[in-house]
Amino acid sequence: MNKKWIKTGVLLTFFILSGCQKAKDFSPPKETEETKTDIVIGATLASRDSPYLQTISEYMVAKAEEENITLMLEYADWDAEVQTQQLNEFRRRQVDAVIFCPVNTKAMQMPLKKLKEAQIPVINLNMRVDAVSSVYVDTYIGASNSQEASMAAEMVIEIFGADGGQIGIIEGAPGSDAQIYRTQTFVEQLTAHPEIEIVALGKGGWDREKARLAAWDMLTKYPKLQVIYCHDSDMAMGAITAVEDLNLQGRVQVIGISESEEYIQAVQEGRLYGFVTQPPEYEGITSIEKAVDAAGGMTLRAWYKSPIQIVTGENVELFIRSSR
Amino acid sequence: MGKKKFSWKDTGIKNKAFLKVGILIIAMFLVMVAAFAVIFQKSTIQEQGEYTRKRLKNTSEYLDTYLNEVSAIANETNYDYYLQNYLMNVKEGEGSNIIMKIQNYEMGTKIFSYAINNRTDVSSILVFGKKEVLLYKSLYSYRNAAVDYRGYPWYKDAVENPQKTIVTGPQSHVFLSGNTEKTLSLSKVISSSEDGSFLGVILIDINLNQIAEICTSSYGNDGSAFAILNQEGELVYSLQQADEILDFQNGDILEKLDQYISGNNSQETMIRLLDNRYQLCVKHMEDTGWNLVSLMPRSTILKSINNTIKFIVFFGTMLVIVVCLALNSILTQVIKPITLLKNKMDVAETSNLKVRAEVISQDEVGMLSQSYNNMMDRIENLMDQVVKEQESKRKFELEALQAQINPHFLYNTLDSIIWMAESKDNKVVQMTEALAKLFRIALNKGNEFITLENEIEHVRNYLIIQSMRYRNKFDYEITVDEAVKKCCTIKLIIQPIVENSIYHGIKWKKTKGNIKIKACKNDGKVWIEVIDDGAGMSPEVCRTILQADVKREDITGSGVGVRNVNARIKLYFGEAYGLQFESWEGKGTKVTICIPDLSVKGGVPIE
Repeated sequence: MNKKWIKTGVLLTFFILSGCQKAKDFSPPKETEETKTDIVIGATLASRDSPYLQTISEYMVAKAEEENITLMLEYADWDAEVQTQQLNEFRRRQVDAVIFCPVNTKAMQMPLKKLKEAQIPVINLNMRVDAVSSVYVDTYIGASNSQEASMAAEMVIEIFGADGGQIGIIEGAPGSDAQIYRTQTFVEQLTAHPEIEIVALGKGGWDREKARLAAWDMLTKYPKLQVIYCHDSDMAMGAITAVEDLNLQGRVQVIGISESEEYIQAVQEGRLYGFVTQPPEYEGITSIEKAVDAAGGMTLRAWYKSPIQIVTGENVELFIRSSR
Repeated sequence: MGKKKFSWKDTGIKNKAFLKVGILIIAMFLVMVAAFAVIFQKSTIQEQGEYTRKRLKNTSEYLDTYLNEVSAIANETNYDYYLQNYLMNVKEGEGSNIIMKIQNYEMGTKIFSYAINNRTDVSSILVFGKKEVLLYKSLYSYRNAAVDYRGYPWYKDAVENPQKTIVTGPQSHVFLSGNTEKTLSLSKVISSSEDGSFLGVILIDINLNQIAEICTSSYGNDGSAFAILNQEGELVYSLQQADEILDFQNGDILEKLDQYISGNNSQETMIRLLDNRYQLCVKHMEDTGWNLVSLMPRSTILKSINNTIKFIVFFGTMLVIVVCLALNSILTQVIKPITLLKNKMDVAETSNLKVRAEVISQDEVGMLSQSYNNMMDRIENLMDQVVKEQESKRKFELEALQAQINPHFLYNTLDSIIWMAESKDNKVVQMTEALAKLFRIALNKGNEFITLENEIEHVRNYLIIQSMRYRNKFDYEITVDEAVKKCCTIKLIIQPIVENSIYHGIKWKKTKGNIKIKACKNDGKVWIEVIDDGAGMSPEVCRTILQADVKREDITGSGVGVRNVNARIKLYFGEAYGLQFESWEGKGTKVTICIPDLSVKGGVPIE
């Protein structure tokens, strides 16, 4: 009788212990970071429609393959709800690092706070979250809107030369850092050049068609208008359409910010005077690099600033060559 | 509770039951109250602890959020284009464009000015380079004394942890003149967005306005004392709501608290401070290293309970009184029929057996009353029966005695004696003697009981007389076992039967008759047989001879019927005994007398 009990006890203990062993086996692989093969990075980008983000994602995928890490790439389709869920899902899966380009700057505070509590490093890519949310991110990789605006201002000064003239601005949707600083710094930079007069401020809402209408209004209202500065190159393409519709080619120059095949081509054709761009290559590759570093426990600095350059008809061929 | 109204003798059961149940109820009530008080007290303290822990957690979260919000100002310096440019200009030194530098300064410090002008909590924002202060916005003037600030924790810790926002204080910085109030400081390294290089350390001074507001609003007014202690155990902020005000400035208290905090961090405990007991609850804040301390006086926690217990005791006492009154009336009702029954019994016992209890209900008391009534009925019946039996006995005895002094028989016998005396018959002595004996035994000093020997002697004397009177008419024979001679019987039971035999049996016989008397013991009974060979009886007469209702026309002789004998035997000895008749017409009759085997002493039968 006693022996039977002892046997049962031993068997039970064995089963329980073997059960524990199994449970351990199922836990996510985290320990072996030296080989980098087990690193999982979750990335969510605001939209798959944006040509710029599309290009970034291509670089990210390529870099991830090179580094031999797992990249879970998601798109939020401009839906803050979707992106929140994606961030929460990354947290649930205990990924090693998160890269995200926010749908909007303020909506991600709670999921970011939770990621920080879960001690998962977060890399804020391309569009910076608001000041309070940025307390919860480890680093920001992206360009300075002010710097871009400042360079756009340089381009405008170059166009006008010493004579000066009238200029109109087509802004993106109000409220974002990009909209605020691309106007603020631009205007600030031009204060030193009283010969250049800002006469019109149109609402383009990051939309090509809206930008076309805004440009049309401006051009009809201010016939002397010589330059239209758009907060992004997409809106610039809309403005160009208006210029062409009004047969003002050559008389009115349009400049934008950010690059894509289409815009480069437009520059080559002389339709778009030029644009300020931060290369997607830098953001795509750096984001993966820094994510891997952070997953490895390395401390990141607050901002990895994208290099910025001006592309106009003069250097467009060089630009194409250097980026391929 | 009205106990004095009842005397112990009258309502013993009720009072006992009342006392016992009452004590039980009161004891249960006391135990319940005590158990309730202990359990409730314990759970209330525990609940209070849990509640305080939750509240501290909330408060710590609010504080974290608030501090994050302030540190966002410091954080923002890393992203501010102009500020970065300005700090770079300063770093590069004289070579940079002065206009650009001014512009960058103006633009870059905008957010600082905004924070100082619009926020109630931010009093100073300063950026320190490696050697000197690079810019400052403050309510107070900067004292440009040669202060080596690099030794201060806010600078040292920030440089050591460039990622973190360091919270220090409360302190008042020596380089800010006019600042007398203690402020908290948030400091953080500003690094270049171009290459990550060190640009300076930003120091943001905040007063306690916002912290006070957060603590007051999330902590409420509940009689507890609340304090924020920093990593070094110094007081950052305290909120006084306790009835017994705790002076957190008191070094002893802080020291004691520090001991408790370092010893125990998660669970609330009871501690003693300045002769009062407090429930101590601590929440550690990871980011700042602060400890949120809540001290709730035990008396305050238990205040509400004590009120509740008071109410329960009051309510319970009322309830116990009501229950006792109800119990009293219930018991009275239960006892009432018993008391009534008892009273009836008392009456029955002392005077009137006719009194009967009222049967009100069908319960035990009802059944008891019914049984009592039945018993009383039976007693009454028995008493009637006894009276009747005694009357019968007297009557039959009288009849029997009357029969013995039947004038006819006496006259005839005396006539015979006279006749015999005249004829000088020498048997006259024997006859006279027999007559004398006959009467002596019949009277038997008034005793009803007699030994069988005497009874036989009585019959013998009778037969002597009769055989002399009816000369040559019959012979007789008496056989008595020695064993039965001393047995007890009632007197005058054999003689009437012998008389019957002579007058109804032998008298009508042409030839000489024979009478045999036998007495013996058998089956624990005494059997006396009187056998004659006279005329006998028809079976009908034989069957009905002992029945009371049959009037027999032909009774002659002494007139005392055999029924008298039979009835007397049954009255004295019971229904099992009596007479038996067997008769054969023309051949004779046998009468068997059955009596119990008893002996006699002093005229009374004994077993």
